[in-house]
Amino acid sequence: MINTIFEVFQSLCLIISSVLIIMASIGILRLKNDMDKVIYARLHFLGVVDIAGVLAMIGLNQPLLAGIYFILAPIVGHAMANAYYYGEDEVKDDFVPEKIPEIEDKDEKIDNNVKKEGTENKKRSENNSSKNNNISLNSKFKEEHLGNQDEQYSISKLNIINEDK
Amino acid sequence: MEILLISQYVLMVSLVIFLLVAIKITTNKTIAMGLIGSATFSLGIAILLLVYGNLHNIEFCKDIALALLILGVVGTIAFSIVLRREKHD
Repeated sequence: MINTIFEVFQSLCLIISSVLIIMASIGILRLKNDMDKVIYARLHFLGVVDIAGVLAMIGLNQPLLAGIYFILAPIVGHAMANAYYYGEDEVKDDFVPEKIPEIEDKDEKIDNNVKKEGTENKKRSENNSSKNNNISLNSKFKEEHLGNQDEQYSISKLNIINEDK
Repeated sequence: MEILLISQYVLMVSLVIFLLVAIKITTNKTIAMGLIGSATFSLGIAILLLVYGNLHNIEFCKDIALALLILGVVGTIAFSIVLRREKHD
């Protein structure tokens, strides 16, 4: 009798944990990548999976493992959120603009090569307008077209006017 | 009892689905997303090993699951520290 109750309890734990895992998986798949701060939402879903895992371990007669993971799971979640917040959040906002503004060279102090590069950059950004938020594209763009630090500095010193104005 | 066996199989199926989702997260473009995906993948594998060991009475599956859980956590925390330091140094 006691064994039967124990097995029913075990199977209940396993079924609840599997339902939670399925729900979390569907939730993660439904979240779109272009959402703002989507990583925190995914971490939140994965917290559910952590607790479902603890429940499954209890159901599988592994209370020690469940206890260890119950203590460690929030630490891991916090570490990952912290790493994203301080390490990678800045990179996400740093994307190639849709239209690169034109450079107004009043005093004609800019080198012709820099002007030519500016025109090429503009063409390139127009071609890649659908992939503006791609980080790898951004870094490649910087490496290829902004060149060394002196050129970046000279570009930053220019008087930049938007095309809209 | 049958209900325990069935629930174990149900858990295995849901874990396999979750592992596929974890692979999808891992292949995302940001590094932190890859970190999250790999951490959860190790959790899913550990639970899957526990279920499989329980089904077929394989004792060493529990040891591997314990190692995966602890080392996965240690690796995730270590990588998080490295990723965090990147900006401040």
